[in-house]
Amino acid sequence: MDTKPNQSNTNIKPIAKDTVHKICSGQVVVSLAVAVKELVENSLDAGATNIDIRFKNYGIDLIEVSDNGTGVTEDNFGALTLKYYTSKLSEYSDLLGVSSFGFRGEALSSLCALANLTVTTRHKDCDYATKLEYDHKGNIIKQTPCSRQVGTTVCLTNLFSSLPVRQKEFHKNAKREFNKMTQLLYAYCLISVGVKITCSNQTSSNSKSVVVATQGTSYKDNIASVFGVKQLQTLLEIKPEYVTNIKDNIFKGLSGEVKETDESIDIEDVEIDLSEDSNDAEKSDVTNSDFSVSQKSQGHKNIAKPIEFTGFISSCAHGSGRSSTDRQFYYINSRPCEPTKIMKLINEIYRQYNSHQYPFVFLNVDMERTAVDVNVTPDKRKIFLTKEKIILDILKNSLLKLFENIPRTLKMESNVNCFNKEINDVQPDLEQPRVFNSFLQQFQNKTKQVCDSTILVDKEIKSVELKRKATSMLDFISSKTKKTEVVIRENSFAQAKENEDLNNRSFDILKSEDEVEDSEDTKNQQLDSGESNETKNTNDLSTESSFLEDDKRNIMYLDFNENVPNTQIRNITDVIIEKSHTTNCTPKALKMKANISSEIKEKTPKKQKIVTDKEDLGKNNKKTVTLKTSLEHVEALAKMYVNDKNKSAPTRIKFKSEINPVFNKKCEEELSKEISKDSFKKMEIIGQFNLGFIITKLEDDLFIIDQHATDEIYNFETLQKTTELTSQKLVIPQSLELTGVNEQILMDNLDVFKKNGFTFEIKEEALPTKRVKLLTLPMSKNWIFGKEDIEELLFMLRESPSEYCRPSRVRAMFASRACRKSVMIGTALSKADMRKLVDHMAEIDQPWNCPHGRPTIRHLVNLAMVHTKDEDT
Amino acid sequence: MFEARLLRSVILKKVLEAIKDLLTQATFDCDDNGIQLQAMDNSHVSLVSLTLRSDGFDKYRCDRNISMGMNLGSMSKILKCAGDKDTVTIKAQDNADTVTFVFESPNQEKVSDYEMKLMNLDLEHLGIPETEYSCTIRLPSAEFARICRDLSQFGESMVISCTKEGVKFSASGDIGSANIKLAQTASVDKEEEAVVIEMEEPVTLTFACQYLNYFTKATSLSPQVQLSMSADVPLVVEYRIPEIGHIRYYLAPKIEEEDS
Repeated sequence: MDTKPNQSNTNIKPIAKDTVHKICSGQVVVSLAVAVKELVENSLDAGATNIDIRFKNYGIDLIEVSDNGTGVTEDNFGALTLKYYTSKLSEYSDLLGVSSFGFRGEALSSLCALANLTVTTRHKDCDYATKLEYDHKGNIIKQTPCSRQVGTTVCLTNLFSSLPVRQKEFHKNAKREFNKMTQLLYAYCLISVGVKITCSNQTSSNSKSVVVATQGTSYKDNIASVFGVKQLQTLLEIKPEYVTNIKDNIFKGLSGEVKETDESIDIEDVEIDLSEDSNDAEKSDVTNSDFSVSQKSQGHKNIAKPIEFTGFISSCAHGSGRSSTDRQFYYINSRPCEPTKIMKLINEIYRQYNSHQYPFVFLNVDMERTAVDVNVTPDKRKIFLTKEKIILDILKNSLLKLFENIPRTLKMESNVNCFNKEINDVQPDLEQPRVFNSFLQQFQNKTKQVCDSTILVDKEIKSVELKRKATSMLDFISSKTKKTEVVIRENSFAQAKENEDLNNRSFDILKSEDEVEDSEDTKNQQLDSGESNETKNTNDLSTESSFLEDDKRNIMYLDFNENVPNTQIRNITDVIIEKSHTTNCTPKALKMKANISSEIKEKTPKKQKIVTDKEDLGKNNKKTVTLKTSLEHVEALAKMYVNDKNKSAPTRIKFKSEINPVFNKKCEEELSKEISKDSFKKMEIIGQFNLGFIITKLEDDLFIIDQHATDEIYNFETLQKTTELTSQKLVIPQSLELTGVNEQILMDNLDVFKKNGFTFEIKEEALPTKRVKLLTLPMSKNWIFGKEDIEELLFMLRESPSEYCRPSRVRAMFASRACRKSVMIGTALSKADMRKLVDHMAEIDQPWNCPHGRPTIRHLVNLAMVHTKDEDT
Repeated sequence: MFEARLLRSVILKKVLEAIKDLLTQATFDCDDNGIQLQAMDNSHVSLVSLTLRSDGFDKYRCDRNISMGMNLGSMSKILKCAGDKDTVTIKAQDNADTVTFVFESPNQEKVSDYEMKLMNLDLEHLGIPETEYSCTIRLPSAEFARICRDLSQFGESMVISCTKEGVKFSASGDIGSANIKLAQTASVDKEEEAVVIEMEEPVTLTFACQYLNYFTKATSLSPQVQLSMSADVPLVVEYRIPEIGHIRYYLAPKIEEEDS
């Protein structure tokens, strides 16, 4: 409760009691979820075995929680809703041993302040019940006797009526708030053994639907009744694994990074490691500093009261997990909470085994109450623990043991070092892996040379050097992404460190540095050729280019660049500059350059900023080289050369891409840019090739068209437009056993399902998972859709709600039908047939690929090019 | 102990032929009255109900009610090993997990027995409500099979409409449309070839040809087939197996597109 300075009046005064009440209450009950949570907790604290939660219109009109707990005695009626009045504790020291959910005496009084509260209660010693109505200050307005079983009913109407902004927000997002509330309620449903919890919602249309209903016989039953039996079947029980030697345990448990480090690492280090991992750095700092002493003493020797776990987790077998963390429930001493570190640990371990999914988690940690601090946040979701580390250890061991025998689906990725990762990332962008390899090879050779000349440089540096070059090379080639730049930086930092050692050594190394630089430059030069390697000349180039030649060309390159303001050559090794001035640019090199450039002419100019690690070296009083080059220069040069020499070349080359699966995307882009739909009609049919392809001509360009793929995509698109899925009734409605949430999604999207031919029989009053039965399903010839498709649709709707959802099998059906209908490869076609096929391409939306992904049309050759080549030779 | 002996194994063979395309596995419930089978196909669109009465068997003994889950594919393989004139005996111990088929050749010279593993199938007993149907049509089974086959070439669904004049089967599709009308036969010379229509009110329903074609696999079991229809309830296609029981297929109608 901080006092707020009043702007209009400079005197500091206490806030009026009413206002304090209002302000603080707004902090305690922030949402529907919290309001319901408080009421349910009250009921549970009252020892109820049956709790019934009713909502009207998602809680906007009414929230009612009734239980069969102890009830309230008459002398407590007045104190019930007073702020900081509670039966749970009277002194602060009681807080340590508090076992009830509530203890602050805030909940009811806050709800009083925010809503109209009515309590109907009957204590077991009383013969009749009493209905109490409270005002916003918590005073009883009306007290009337009435009839009721032993227990209490709390009615909330007009929630947030005293906070207009929040009320508006609540009304607007009622459905969403309601869903959040159910998530929170699930946590209480699962943990409450011996308590039946029923929650229902009545919408304005007077249809009542049960959100959740548990029997409360066991955790397992609770999970089954909330999420369905299916969920239960994928779960494994967590059995605690206590290990006597915690230190060993940590080494065994933690992943690669710790294992690799020194043997002398102690527990303290590991602990820090964990805290660094945690998202909530601040919080973990607090816990660590506060409790590190006790942790140390307790960690090794005395485990006073055993920490007990009960819980379930998804099996790590593929497909058993969930696509999000929406079903994770953590409890400390049966109190639902969010222990960040435990959550993180479990998810991390699970990811090691099932890298694409998150587990269902239900975990209750039972431990001494004195080791837990629940009084951290108003909603009591955050909890501080003194023995967190032990819990984490035991948990980790338990999980590792649990998952030990289940086959992993994918190798864990966390051990792959960052270099390899980057390479992996970059590789798909690389357009010619073959070329890339040859580069790598060259670098290897070069670094070998470097190493030979530098005797003092030890082996480690060599390898790092090599790696670095490889990666930075890659980065340059695909220098479009920002990420790569970062990597370069990273690399250079690492390099700088290593170079520090280097600097401390003799002049010999300095010399070797020069060598390194040499190769660096050649590398840059290689890069240029790498860019141009999309053309076919590359092979000659990379094989021909000996070390010397590379130097020459490189120098020539620098020569040109001197005229450009962008180019900054600072402190460049004198040797190189001198060399560059003395060496002639051989015509051969020039010609090569021109060849290359003629091919990249059409490319949009890309600037390349090459910042080598030498900059970092510079900080250590070493030489710095910053090269700024640009393809524009090369292009300009090339143009000059080409214009001089080859004036007869076609004015514009439309298609450059090779026919190669790697280039498919590029080809399509080119084609869709250059060929309009009318172009197909204008195409001249040359003939059929190999009984599978149609050769066509548009102006000077020759195209090859896959006759089957073309017909297939045409048939596919027409089928999709014309086919209607007919609804087939089931002979007996099939029960679907969907979870409560999925049922809700389904009921909200009945239209989408109806469009796809699914209709359902819905019994809103039935138990969750039994509310929906399938009545009709779509059918088309011998394709029948069913439960799997419904589940797929539900998944799609959950991830991205949209009106136009279609099961993927529908597409598959059309694709297969289109395929069978189409002209086969091997069929001879008359010119008219071919004409028809090509004309069809003009009629469809996406003519570039068949539904299975094969390309339909590719550019073969430009006839003008052929002619000019002939002239050349 | 369960034991059922049938002189003409060909009946069992035909029964299996009639259901194995529709069902992959099914539970045979055996009790004092005979053998019953009731199962839906995978997509829950159709239902098969088979009854073989105990008095139709040459020897029938069932001490305790047993349910045998069988893979129909495997069962059909075994029955193919029997000659048409062989005698077949089905045997199972109480609570056993296998069933034995014994085939004896007519002259008792060859006796072969096959043991098949049983399966544990979810028992989902489906109560089929007794319904009064607005139309029942009896026609030669071969004729019905022919109609189904012919019409399925035209479209994937078939409209059966029953009026006072007779019954009309029609289908339409890409190539065109087809209509077949059958009138009630005036003179009942041969009972097997008669077309008999009993009608309270006219009914028109649409069904998937594919399923009807599955049903007509039972044609060889009976010379006559009976179709019972009412609006909005499943069609019943019944083949009476002489002297021993019947096989009934239930098929839910297709929903006519209102907005097409």
